[in-house]
Amino acid sequence: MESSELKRSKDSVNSCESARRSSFPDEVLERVLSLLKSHRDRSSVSLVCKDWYNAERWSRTHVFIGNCYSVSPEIVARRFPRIRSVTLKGKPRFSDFNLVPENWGADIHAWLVVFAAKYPFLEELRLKRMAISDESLEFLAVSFPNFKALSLLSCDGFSTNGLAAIATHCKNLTELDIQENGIDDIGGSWLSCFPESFTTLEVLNFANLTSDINFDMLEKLVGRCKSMRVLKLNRSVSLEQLQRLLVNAPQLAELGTGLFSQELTIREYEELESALSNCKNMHTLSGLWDATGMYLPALYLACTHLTFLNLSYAALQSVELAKLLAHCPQLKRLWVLDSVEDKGLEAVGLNCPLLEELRVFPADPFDNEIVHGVTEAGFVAVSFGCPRLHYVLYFCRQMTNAAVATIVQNCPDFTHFRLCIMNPGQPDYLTNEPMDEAFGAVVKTCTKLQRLSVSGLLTDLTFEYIGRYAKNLETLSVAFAGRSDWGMQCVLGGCPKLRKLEIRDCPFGNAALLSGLEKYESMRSLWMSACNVTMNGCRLLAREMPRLNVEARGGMPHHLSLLSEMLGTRQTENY
Amino acid sequence: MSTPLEHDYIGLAETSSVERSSEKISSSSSSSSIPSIEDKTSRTTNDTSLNLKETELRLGLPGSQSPDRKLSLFGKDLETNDKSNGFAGSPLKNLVSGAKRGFSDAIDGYNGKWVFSMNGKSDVELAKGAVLASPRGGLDSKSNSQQPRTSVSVMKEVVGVPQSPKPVLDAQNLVPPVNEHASAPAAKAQVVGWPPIRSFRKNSMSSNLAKNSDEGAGCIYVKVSMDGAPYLRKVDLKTYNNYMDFSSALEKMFSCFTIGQCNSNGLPARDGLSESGLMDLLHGSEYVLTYEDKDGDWMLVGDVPWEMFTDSCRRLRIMKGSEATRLAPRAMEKCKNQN
Repeated sequence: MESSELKRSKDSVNSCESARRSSFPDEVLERVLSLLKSHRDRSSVSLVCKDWYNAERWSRTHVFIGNCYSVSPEIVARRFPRIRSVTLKGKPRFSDFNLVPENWGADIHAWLVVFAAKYPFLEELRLKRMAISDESLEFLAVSFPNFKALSLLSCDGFSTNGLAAIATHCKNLTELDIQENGIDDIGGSWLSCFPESFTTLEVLNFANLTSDINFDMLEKLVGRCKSMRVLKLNRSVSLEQLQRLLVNAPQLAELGTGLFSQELTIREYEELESALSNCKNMHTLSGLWDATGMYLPALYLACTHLTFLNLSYAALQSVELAKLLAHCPQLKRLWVLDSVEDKGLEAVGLNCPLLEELRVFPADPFDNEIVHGVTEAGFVAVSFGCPRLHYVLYFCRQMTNAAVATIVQNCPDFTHFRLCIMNPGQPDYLTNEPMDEAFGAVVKTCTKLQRLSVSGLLTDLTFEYIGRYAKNLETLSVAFAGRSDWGMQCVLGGCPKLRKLEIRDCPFGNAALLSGLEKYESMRSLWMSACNVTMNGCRLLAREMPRLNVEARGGMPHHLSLLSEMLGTRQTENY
Repeated sequence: MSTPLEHDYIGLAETSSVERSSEKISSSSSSSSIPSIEDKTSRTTNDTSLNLKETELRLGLPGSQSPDRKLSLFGKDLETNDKSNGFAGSPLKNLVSGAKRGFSDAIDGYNGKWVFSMNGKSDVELAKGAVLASPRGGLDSKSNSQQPRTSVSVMKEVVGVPQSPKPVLDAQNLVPPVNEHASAPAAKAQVVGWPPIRSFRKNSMSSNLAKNSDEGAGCIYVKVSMDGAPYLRKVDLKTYNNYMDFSSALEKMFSCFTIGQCNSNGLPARDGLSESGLMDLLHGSEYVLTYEDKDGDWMLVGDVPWEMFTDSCRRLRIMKGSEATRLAPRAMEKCKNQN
């Protein structure tokens, strides 16, 4: 497209029409726009003029709905007639931590009914934090003959029977990805429901399930699906069985092992090692449940090209991790448990110069007994060794302002900074001061910051900093922090790109809530629980902002909070 | 813009959203514990000064405690410990669980706020359900609209409206006294949904822990907690041969509790054990020894042969007698009948 025509198009509808007549037909515009994948770009395109709006809606094949209550399925179907792939997110993120009551909603079924009527050629469905029943899964399986990919992340309401329905009916299935769901695992033979003739599976992830599966069926399935590139097993699969699978699937790019602990003979060990090293395409490795130092060396040869290593289910010690990392020079993403301690993180800094993402989970999060795990020292060590680090999730029991300042100085490119000091409201353990300056340093230095989770003892100053400096911040999580309404007001008054704000156990009240009225229109969601907001405040909000979904709950199942609210912004224009 | 409508959520058929079933919080599993919390709220904040002392960390061997300290653990403040442990006693993984210490977490107002709602009144409202505003429930009725909806915001309320509550803890209270924080890594009740870890990971890790806690050549170290005690101990189960030895060792460690007896050949004297343990329960002032097994269930110590016990035991908890009624309801009944 020439820039002059572009400019003309933006001026007005009329000029747009004349440009259209004189320059290129709809089909060309649609063809060009079909190359646009980002849904944000597409939203922008659709706002240019009516013709572009139409061209965009006819060319769109994938729709992303970040809040299922922001729009109805009928409206979606009317606007986008040619959708083949849908991504839907439902419950507030805090539902992952049991802060949202059961049966809250976000049920997929109404959507499926509309899709069955309007999108009979639907191929992909990716759900996050939605409720989906076995009946819905069965309905899905029989309603869409072209259905190819199902991904369920953090969903609930279904059992392995639902999976059986999918396996039975979806003849063209390429992807079945079941992750971290509240699944009712009643075992059964869902895996055996894949027909003998079925060969198209490329992605199979059932790491979530705890029950045993029929290994023979799995082996046969993997054997005949020659295009399989992602295979993530559950704990019930042993090392010996893993070896048998790998022999038939050396093409795997992503592997999630089963239990990585078994008594093996020397020969079995060598066979395993050989099978693993034959996976020349392997770039992602996970699972490794209960892995101990004994069998980790079997992985060494397979780790040469590894870019993502997920050790968050293996409580390794620092030495074991260090030895393993020496074989992972290409690593970009690493997830570990804090059992590796600071020494383990030093090894990360030494061995992984290309590291971009680090997540350190607590092995023993509810243990108040002894101080162990990782400290600020580990984080600092990584920051010195890994200048490309831009994504961190870090659970620790102590932190200092100075350490964080050093970290962001070493790694100024943070886009996601999620720090969880596990003792709520804990100050800088050396100076006893609040952690305000730590997060101040983060937002001042990391100009690209998109996501921030704060913790520790924080006054309103932290939020002043955030509001003033975090110009690109989209997601903010706050817990046990702040002193007054002013804190939240600063965030709502600043942060021009804020989309998701989740707050728990903070002293923010109605004044703060109501200060963000204009802001909420451009946000996806707001969560507040155990704060000072009252029912009247919510009513006022709802009255002032009729287009918002406002939900206020007068009690929480775990007898904690006064009110919890979720605001979904209902927008027809922006997806 | 018209005035917002307030509907009785349950009453209106048209607004019953496709997604939602009953809004009643009481349908959730924890409703049974809700009434007890109401009592705790007011009492606990009043008990702040009492509890402060008990959870102060002091150096010294167990058993070398000052007399009044000992009393407070077992005698005087049974009430305090009672209600707090009742709250914390639920072994459900996703709830506040396994609080090893008394509910003297209200050391400072800040701590108290986490666990109890911001004000006493709202506890009364806990059983009341949600207020839902705006189109979520009304989506199906608006499907014909071409325009962006100019619908009014609709607030749906379930079963009564909580009054505008007064916060018990104002902003000032939220600043924890810094000194206290630094010097006393004191009793904290666990907070729901904190640290923010997904259930799948939590459950996977607890099986991890089981492995790690008892590995090592021939050692089975397990943690022993006692309700009301400020710290735990670890014991190596392998160093004991039977329940008797184990019991007396623990007794020395913690002073004054009962698990009951087992036959000398290690066979379960089921009736005898449960009875004596529970007999003590009935007096309400003794402790009972319980353990968490491989499946995550909390069991009464003494039912199974010693070897089986050491195999399946992951951790121990010396539970207040009143708490332990939940463990063996049938045995309790049988006990009562025999009496």
